[in-house]
Amino acid sequence: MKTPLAPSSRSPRLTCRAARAVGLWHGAAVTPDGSGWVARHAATCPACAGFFAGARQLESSLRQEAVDTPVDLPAGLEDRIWAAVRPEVAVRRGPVKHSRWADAHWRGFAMPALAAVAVVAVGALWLTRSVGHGGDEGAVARAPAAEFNERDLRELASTLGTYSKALLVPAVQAEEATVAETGALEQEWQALGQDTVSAWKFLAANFIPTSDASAENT
Amino acid sequence: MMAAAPAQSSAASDASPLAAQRAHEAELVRGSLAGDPQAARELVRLFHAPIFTYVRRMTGQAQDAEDITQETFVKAFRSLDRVDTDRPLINWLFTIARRTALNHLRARKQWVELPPETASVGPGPRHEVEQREKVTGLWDHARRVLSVPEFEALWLRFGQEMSTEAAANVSGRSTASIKTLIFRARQRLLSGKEMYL
Repeated sequence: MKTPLAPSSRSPRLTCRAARAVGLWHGAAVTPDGSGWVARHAATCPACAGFFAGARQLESSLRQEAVDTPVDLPAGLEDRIWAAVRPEVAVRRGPVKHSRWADAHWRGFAMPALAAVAVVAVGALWLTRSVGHGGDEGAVARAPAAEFNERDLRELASTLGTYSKALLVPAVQAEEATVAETGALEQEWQALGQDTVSAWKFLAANFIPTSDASAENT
Repeated sequence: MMAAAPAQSSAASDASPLAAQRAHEAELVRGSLAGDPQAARELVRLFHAPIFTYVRRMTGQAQDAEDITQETFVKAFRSLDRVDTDRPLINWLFTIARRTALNHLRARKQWVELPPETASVGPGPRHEVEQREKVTGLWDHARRVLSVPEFEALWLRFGQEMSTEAAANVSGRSTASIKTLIFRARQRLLSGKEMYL
């Protein structure tokens, strides 16, 4: 013979279970005098009111115990941490290691500045040659042009490239620095160097007289 | 010496005392970046206790917590130039500490982090170690019966008094996930009193 199912205090009704689940989801702040259907249910259901009181007590106890019974700190912990951290701070004081902020800062200024140097160098050469084509001053003006030739410009571009690498890529790389960033920077500099050389070749081909032309002028 | 764990909630971030604290933290960060040892030391002094407390609560082991705390600060100072000083520094440190603890304890097979959907499956290997430890107090009980994600969410929320959003940021989870974990944690802790679901 089967025993009929009977309500049990250990097995709340469906409404109670739903109310408790919803109440807990919202933070166990449900009180019988609150608003909403869960609060209304708690106001009429002593079991659920007791359940929510227990939930609030749990939160309160967790908070209180975290404050009242803090973890014991090992003696000398702060000193040991500082001893481990201090080299990192000391490195920052040194002249070699650059912070990421500094890297970004220098990238922002150095790129246009170095590009401007290259342009000025090419422009100076252009002007020198332009003056050199004029009348009596030609002989005097051609002298500097002869001293600053294509090879010199290549060396300038190379120097700028080396300088940029030393300036923009810290000697002590941050461990998280990505290869992609460095590669992109180098590619940009290589492109700048190639552009500079191309500009020089264009100027040289069109405005710098050959030795035959120089002979004609003289 | 006892640790007092400061609480910083994103919800209260506009309050002037917290704003002043944030400004002080930013000043210390700038000083540390400039190589000022006093500023760096002050950062260690301010935050070593809450970080150790967090890790100690999470791992349940003092020696591991000490190693992880030290490693956390070394990592933090190495990447100090990336910190967002508009946010509470402690939350950033918690994040580093959490990752460091995960790596540390995974290597020792003492921390098995389960995705939120399966977080309530049951105790992992870490719990077997903890079973051998003496259980005292509610938080120790919680660490024994909860999964790691549940315990972490509960600690950040009530032990550190963080908002749900701040706890989500620190643990790299969504706010819904944090709410779910806390919901389950409450269920587990209350289930000793009454079965209701």
